[in-house]
Amino acid sequence: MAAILRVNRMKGKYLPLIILIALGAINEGISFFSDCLGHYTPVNGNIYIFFDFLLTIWLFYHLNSGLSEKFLIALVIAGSIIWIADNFFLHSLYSNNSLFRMVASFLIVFLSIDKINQIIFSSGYIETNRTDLVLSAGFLVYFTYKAFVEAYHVFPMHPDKSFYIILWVILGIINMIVNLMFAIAILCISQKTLTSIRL
Amino acid sequence: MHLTENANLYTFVTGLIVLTLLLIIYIVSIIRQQKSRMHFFKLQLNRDMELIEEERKRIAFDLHDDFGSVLSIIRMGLASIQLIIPDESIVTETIRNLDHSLDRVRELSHNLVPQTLGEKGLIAAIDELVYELSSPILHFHFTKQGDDSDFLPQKSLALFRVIQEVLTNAVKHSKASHVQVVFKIENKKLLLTITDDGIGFDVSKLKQTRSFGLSNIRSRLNLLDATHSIDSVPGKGTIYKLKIPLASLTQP
Repeated sequence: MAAILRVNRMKGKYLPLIILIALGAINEGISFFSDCLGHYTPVNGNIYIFFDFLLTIWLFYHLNSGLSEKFLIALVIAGSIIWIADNFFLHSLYSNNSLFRMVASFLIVFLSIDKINQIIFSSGYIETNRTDLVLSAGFLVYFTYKAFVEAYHVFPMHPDKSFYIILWVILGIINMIVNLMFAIAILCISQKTLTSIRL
Repeated sequence: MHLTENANLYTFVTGLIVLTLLLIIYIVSIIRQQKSRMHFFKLQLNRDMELIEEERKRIAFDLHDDFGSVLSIIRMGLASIQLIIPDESIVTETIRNLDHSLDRVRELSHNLVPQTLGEKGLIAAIDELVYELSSPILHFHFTKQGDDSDFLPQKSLALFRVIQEVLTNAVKHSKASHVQVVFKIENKKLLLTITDDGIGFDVSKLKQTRSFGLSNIRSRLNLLDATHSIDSVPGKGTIYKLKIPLASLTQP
């Protein structure tokens, strides 16, 4: 909601974040309605997570995280290969697949930790803002926990189903907190610089 | 029961592996950022040094072209007066003082911008510096082994300033009668040793002093990725050793 209200005032570099939030909302909507109609399918989730990964990389590229373009392109290529392998060769697109989710979580954790470290190390000589810090902290918190959850799904060794239920309940709570953080970050985004031309 | 224990162990191990990976990610990021910070400061230092050299060049030209010319004109005027009044000792004395000032201005402008360094390279510039600093009571010996043709001008200048500072310190403070400078390239490293037989000093006191010259040396050596050491015992002279990877002198 905060993103919709401030979409016109936000700087272009946060466009991937807006698309990410919008896609997340659409994905949740599809999952909810398909579940209500009794036709739940993980396909939209598997596709969404891939775009989530790409958009997050695009966002960190715009946040000037100091990582080279080549490195980010290599991340996209590696992620794409793992997603294709996970959804078409190792498992089916119609099942909940965790391998790509786990790898993507680790990569996003790296991007967010690196951005936070950059803000801490470079204080005074590179211009940074609170929005970048809150966004990176949000990504860090969510994907750190998600890396654990997905690792437990890639290697499902625990026989007790309640263990996994607890994992998902905690993820839901973290998701809510992180969404609040994103809302704060969006509200912190300074508006575009207004320019006028005197004729 | 046994199954649950195993499951708990596997869960713990999986968690531990994830935690380890996260820790590795954290450490890699810290190292990366530290490196990029160092790189940034080095660039900044480089820029500062370039600015200092530019300023030195400007002062040198101003000294030589403006101040030097004015002194020369005054000298010519005084010489004309001397032709009219040849016996006036105050004029002769003033001309002598002016000649001394002119020499000093030339020397200063020459020291500010070492022309030989740009024209003939580092070894030639050290050779010239050693020659200029030599006097009947202080003998310099310069031994060189290796080639400096690949050295970048900017890096050569930084190293020359260090050598200039160390040798000037030896002239000013060491009370030595012999100073030996050894320039040697060995195992892709430049080894520079400056030894004097002067009064020496207590090295431990060096850390307590906030010398401008010393901090200048450190800044320039930082640019060159160099390591240096000073060994000195009161009454037994001083040995200054410098080790620089050749790559730092030949690559930007």
